[in-house]
Amino acid sequence: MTTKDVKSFVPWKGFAHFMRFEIEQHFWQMRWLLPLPVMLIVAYIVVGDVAVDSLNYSLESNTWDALFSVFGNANLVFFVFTLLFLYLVSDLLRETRFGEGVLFRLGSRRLWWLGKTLTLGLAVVVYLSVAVGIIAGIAGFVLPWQPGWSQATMQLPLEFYVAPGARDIPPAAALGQLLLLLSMGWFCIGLAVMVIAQFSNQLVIGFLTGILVNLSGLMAERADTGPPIAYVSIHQHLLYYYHSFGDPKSVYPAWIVSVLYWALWVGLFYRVGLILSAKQDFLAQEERQ
Amino acid sequence: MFREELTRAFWNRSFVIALALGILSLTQGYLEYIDGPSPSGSGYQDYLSRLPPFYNNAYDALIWAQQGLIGLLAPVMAVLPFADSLALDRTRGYLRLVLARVSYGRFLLAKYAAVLLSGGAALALPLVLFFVYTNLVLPRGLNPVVEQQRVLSAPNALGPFGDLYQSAPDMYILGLAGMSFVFGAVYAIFGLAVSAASDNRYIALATPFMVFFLAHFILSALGLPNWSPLSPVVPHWLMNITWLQILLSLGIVLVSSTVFYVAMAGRMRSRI
Repeated sequence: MTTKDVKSFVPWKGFAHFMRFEIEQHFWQMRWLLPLPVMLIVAYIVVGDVAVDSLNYSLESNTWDALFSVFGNANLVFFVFTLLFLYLVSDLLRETRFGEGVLFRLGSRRLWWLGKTLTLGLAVVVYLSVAVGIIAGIAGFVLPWQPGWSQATMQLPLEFYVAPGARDIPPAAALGQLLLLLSMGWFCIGLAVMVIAQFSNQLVIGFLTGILVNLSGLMAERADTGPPIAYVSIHQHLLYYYHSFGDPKSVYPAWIVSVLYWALWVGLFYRVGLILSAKQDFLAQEERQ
Repeated sequence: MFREELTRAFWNRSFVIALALGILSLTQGYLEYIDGPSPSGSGYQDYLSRLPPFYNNAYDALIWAQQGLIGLLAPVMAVLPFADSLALDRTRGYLRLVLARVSYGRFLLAKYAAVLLSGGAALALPLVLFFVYTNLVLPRGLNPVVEQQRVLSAPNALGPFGDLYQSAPDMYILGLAGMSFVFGAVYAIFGLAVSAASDNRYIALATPFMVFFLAHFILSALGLPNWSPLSPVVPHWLMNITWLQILLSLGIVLVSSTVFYVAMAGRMRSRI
């Protein structure tokens, strides 16, 4: 390395190189094709159900009904979306020998952890975009696009996993709020998986932790767990349906409380991950994993 | 070779983790089963006197416990002990050393048998241990008052061998443990087949779980829940689960995994 090279060295250039490598390594895999058939099947089943409900009740439905029926449905969120997401991202910490070389060029453990976290964030965005794109695309063929809530949701909101109070918000804004909760929740669980994987040096232990967190939410939802456990359980903060929407008598949290809940956990896990990455033995990592 | 592989499969940390996971999952189901006052509390005898004999019993407790988390975690528990070992042996260079001593075919056969047995044991052992526990803390007998039974006792509600519940309840529980063993063995082989194709151990461990869940979701959503891969491991989760549904569900996974394992192992030989 010459003096000129040292003077012109920009840490962020190395970071950009690292990020490019991360994306190539983790996203260019056959596994990332799995959401396509899964979302198509989900769309086929749910859009069909919404269309049949619309006929049965003689009430007009629209595309928003299908979107809320998919992304507000606890069974789909816990049994399909979160598990599939965990399967896709739980080995983000895995490094190949070439990856170790890239890491040494990066020269900073902080930047390494930041890179991994940003890759996880990107995975959330890609996964959610694919999911929403496919569901909305299929639903759009069968049901009309309208700016407001459908007749069916206005009369039977619970059938479409819309809380009655949410109907005061325009559907596009409500869907935005719902997707923000899901993306923050998945990002947070993914971060927890990476922290546990770093701590245990076993990717599968991280994956297992993610599964258990996910199943704990499912079971709390099924058991209709009351406070105080419900306040900390993920189901009340991941599912849009479980929010108060300005109703002072509601036992559910306000939407903003859930955003803060996830932000708090994300901050905590990021910090713990940073501390663990300072102690990580990268040379031996591949052999252990 | 077989003894060596068997020792590695059973004598490792992951096998203990799988057992612990099984015991904890069954405990979660058991805690849901035990309701009313605590057995060590003062009002417990009075509470029991108002209930039919054997209202809480060792058999129903295990059936309840098996309807909890364990069914969902079963594919992970099956692969944890040893299913990823082929990828590990290959990437660490262990395989090259082994092949200096034994033939490739014998190694593959020993690996297959060890993975099969460890996967089956990882699922069946927690059930057997938990049944021993429920026998120690709860009475051994069946509640004669059908209306107040804790589980549906009709034979078609308890799986294809459900008639054993009334005639020989111990055999019924043993049958459940046997089914769990077969399920664990089959899904462990699934993991082994994946590890023959991929150097990423995580993929070998996580893929069977993901396939299990997606198949369960899709079959349930299509109105075919009895055909779900959950039926072999929890044959009493729905009414009218038949041998055909169980054998087909397991048979497809076992045959396709074995064929894939043999094919990938043949290809892998050039990369050792």
